[in-house]
Amino acid sequence: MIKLLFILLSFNLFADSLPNGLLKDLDKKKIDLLEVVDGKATIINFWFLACEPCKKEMKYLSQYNSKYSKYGFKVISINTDNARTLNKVKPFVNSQDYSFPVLLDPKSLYFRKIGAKLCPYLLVVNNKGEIINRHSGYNPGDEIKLEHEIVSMIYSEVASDTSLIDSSIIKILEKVKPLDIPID
Amino acid sequence: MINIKNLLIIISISFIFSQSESIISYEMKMANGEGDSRNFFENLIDINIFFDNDLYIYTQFEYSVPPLLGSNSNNVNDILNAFYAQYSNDKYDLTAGNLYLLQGMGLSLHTFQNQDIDYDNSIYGIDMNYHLNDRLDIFSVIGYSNIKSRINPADVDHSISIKNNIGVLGSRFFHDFFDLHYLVMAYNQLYDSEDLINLMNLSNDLGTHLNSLSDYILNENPDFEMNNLEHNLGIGFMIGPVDLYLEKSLVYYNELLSERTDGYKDYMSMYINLLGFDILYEYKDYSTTMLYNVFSNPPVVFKEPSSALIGRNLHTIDFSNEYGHQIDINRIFNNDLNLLISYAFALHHREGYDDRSIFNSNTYDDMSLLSDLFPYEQYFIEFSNWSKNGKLYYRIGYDYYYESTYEKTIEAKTIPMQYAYKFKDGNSLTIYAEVQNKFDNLLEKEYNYVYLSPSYNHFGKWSLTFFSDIDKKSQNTYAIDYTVNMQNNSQLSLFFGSQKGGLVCANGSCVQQPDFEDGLKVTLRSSF
Repeated sequence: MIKLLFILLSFNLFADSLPNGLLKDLDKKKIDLLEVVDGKATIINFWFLACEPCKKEMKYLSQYNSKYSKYGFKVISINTDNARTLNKVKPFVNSQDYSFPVLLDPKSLYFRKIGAKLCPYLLVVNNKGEIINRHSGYNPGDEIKLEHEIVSMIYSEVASDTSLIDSSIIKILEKVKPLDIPID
Repeated sequence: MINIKNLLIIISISFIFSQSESIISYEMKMANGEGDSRNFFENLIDINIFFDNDLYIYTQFEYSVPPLLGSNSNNVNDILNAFYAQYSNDKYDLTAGNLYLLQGMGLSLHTFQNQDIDYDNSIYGIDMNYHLNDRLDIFSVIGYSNIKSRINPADVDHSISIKNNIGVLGSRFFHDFFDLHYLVMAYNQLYDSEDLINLMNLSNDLGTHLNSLSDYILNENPDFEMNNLEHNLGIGFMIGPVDLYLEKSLVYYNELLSERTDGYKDYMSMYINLLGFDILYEYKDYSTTMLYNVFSNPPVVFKEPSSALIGRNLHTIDFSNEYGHQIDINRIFNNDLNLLISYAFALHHREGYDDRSIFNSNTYDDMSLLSDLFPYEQYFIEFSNWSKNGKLYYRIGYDYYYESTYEKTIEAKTIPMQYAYKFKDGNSLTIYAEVQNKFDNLLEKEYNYVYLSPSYNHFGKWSLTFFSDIDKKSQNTYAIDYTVNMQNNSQLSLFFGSQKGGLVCANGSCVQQPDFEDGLKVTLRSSF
């Protein structure tokens, strides 16, 4: 029977699509995740308060969210603290002044749903709602590779920006290959 | 529990009729060490299957011979760890299987799984949420559980196994400025004689009570059944810059092998942004002193440690009997320098002793005078920042910890530090360094620890971490970890050496690890 299970696992029917989830924001309002994603190239990160690498990574995610939002990119952050520490999340998030929305998954049900095992965990989702990459853990410097992935996903939008003067983005454009999907 | 063969048929059908998609993750952990090390071989597979018609099935299989904690899972009837199916539409959500539930802040009902400590207090049953309108939900739960736990967290096998039948009925109301929930929860519990014998080892009033009945328990081997009732009400307000949350549970239960009694659990939090400082105040008073709580996992009201040495003096919270408070202050200066201040204090209710007010400043004058109430005090201050050019990061703090229990009276002062330097194009060096002075008042022994862990990250492709744990009075431990991030979302870690248990950070994530002596550990994680 165990062998049967592993045979079943060998079927290549794995999901590319980001599953939907009903989560709450910091003001306890119900949020439909796919509505927030809204067909944009998106990075979804999972974190909890005692995770120091998570906090270091989120500083960059906030910067990228601001830097690339005009090109159809966004970051959505999902906190996985459970009831034991949940009320500490909003004060921390507000103190950091992040540019992205933070949603709550205190039962870690969405965290399970997307197959995550440990934080920080990142999903890279293209504008068709397909998961195209996953990252777990964060070491200083990883954000450089991540920024390249972001620019690859929104290549056409960035490259067609005739007013682009940010040299850091221009350098990345020269290095990366377009991975983006034209918007119908 | 659901028959494993039927479950596999469900999975097979879902694969054959490929209207479904799936997300699968796999984790393998293996350890082979010397001495007292627990050698283990764990395999966990999580399968998520999504159907077009809003149906979702989750299953977790475990094949472990042996696992780190608990007994072997290596035959068909043991390998299913968790299963649930969810169906949702605009009107209702229905979940059947292992129910992971949270109402309010979990004073009465909070069930979760923590694989690291082999704990799962989920209810096996049906959870129904009915949305009457945008603002009002009605929910009900019915099910049973056999909740297994340990008196001593370090024990490999469970020592307690309590059978429960439970029914919950409640409602939630949402408004723009406030929300509230109310639930009533009735559950029947069955303790067998082995549970009662093991509960005698508890170092609290319940353990003392059972020890007073030891002759009866040991000679008669009684079982004990009781019916418990809980009312739980929570209200949250958002008034301008202030968030206020209040929750109360009233609990009616039996003292084990004795008469009917009652207890309560109170929690309050208030958050305000004042002059740029984000300030959170939390208060707790948990008083169900003769109840072994199985469904309640409320706020801890202290700061969870985020460094190795601080984590080794973790407050031993008693969710049945503890009152105290905490204040947290967060502030970021000039969009760069982070400041975090935290202060937590707690006492225990004791039969025969008067409670001390935590709002009276005299209470804090001398901790040793509070020893009958088993005081806990911890304060923490931390600064962190990136340099202007974004290459150097530092985090430095100071932690003071004092706790007195039946078994120990510990005072510890710790300075945790972390430095990270980014080289060109994304490789980096991170160094965790900590020093701790610890004094055991009962043994009158002083300890000095140094923890040093440099880690090199090579362009996000692989990382190499060295661990040294220096204890000036006993054996030092050293270890090395090599982690490679493979393509196709997989990560492989190889660990060689010895390690003291606790929080361990390597390759950009931190996880709780057990003691390990002189050997090899392999961890593989993958998602499809």
